[in-house]
Amino acid sequence: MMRDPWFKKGYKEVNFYDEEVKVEEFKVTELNAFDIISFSSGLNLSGLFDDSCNSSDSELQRFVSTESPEKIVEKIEDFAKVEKLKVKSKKDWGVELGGQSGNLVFGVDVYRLTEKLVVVEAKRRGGDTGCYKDMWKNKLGPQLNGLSLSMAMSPPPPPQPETSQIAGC
Amino acid sequence: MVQCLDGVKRLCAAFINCCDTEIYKQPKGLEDPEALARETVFSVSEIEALYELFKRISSAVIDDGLINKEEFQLALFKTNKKESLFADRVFDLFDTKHNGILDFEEFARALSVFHPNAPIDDKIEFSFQLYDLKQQGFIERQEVKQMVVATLAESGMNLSDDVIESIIDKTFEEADTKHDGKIDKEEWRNLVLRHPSLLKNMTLQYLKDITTTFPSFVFHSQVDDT
Repeated sequence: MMRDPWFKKGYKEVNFYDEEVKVEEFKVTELNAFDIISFSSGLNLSGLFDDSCNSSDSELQRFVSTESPEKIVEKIEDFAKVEKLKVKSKKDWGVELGGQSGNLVFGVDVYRLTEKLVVVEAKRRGGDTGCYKDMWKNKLGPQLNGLSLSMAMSPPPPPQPETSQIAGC
Repeated sequence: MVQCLDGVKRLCAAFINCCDTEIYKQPKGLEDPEALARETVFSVSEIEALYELFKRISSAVIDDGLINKEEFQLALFKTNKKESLFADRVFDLFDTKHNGILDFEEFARALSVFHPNAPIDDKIEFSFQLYDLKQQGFIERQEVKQMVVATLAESGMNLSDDVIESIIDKTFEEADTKHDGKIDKEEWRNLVLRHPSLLKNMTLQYLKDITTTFPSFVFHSQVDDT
């Protein structure tokens, strides 16, 4: 039956014993020491070409969390609903969000560092730095970063109503 | 009175000497763009555009047609107050003449490696030298730890020493296939071919559009820019 051409159409062989992908664990990209090193801004020469002041982009760009990737992505999706952001794409442990007015696109990715730790990384991919600052630096970033401390702290204050959202994001 | 005149004479002589050296310190300018284009992946117009960028960076602190360490930091971080182990390494690798300053030739040749079209072997070589802090021809565990710690400090990510050690253990387990406690060029190459994202800093997409970002108004009638 497997050899029949009709069956073969669109058939993708599933390798149950694939060593690369642990069946129990989702496929999160694992970081090694050199991945961490490549996060360094000193190694990122794009600053030579990019005239804009990068400080707001680089602040709170990455942090370590003890939360699971699933929980983090869930939180991001909840945030998107509240702030009325569009989830533009979702892949293995990465979410891309877009502002309604098209003035902001940013992605949040989760990578595994160790068994217990992940790295959450945000990157502005387009649009206004002001919008990015508002959405990531002032709101989503601290919320996600606070997740790992959620036992110790009270839950973050509920997001403010529409008036706090920078117009035109 | 005579002594006074003498003093004035000496002062004038000093001024003249000063001015003389100023004249001789002229920047080389863009002497031979075609030669540089031949020896790098850049086209002649890209070399000219790169020169515009170079002029901008090199005039930031001292307008002498050369990039010093401070101007390099300023260009990278938009502040000269930021010290970075990695920026220092990058600068040193750019500075092939080892005189503490970058002239345009060094600048162009080094950036050629970062072009999207540059051969991957050049990128692998450059990155290996970058991480080989002591320049011994291999990357030691201690060097890796130093770089990881420096990066974490810079980004505000806090990890305990245990966690850092375990991450480095994991990395060496995978990379150090000869099990000698160091990563040599061949091991580095194999690691990077398995994990291409490790080379992501070695490619600057900006270099592809450089002629539009830094237009140069030099006209070359004979240049065939294919």
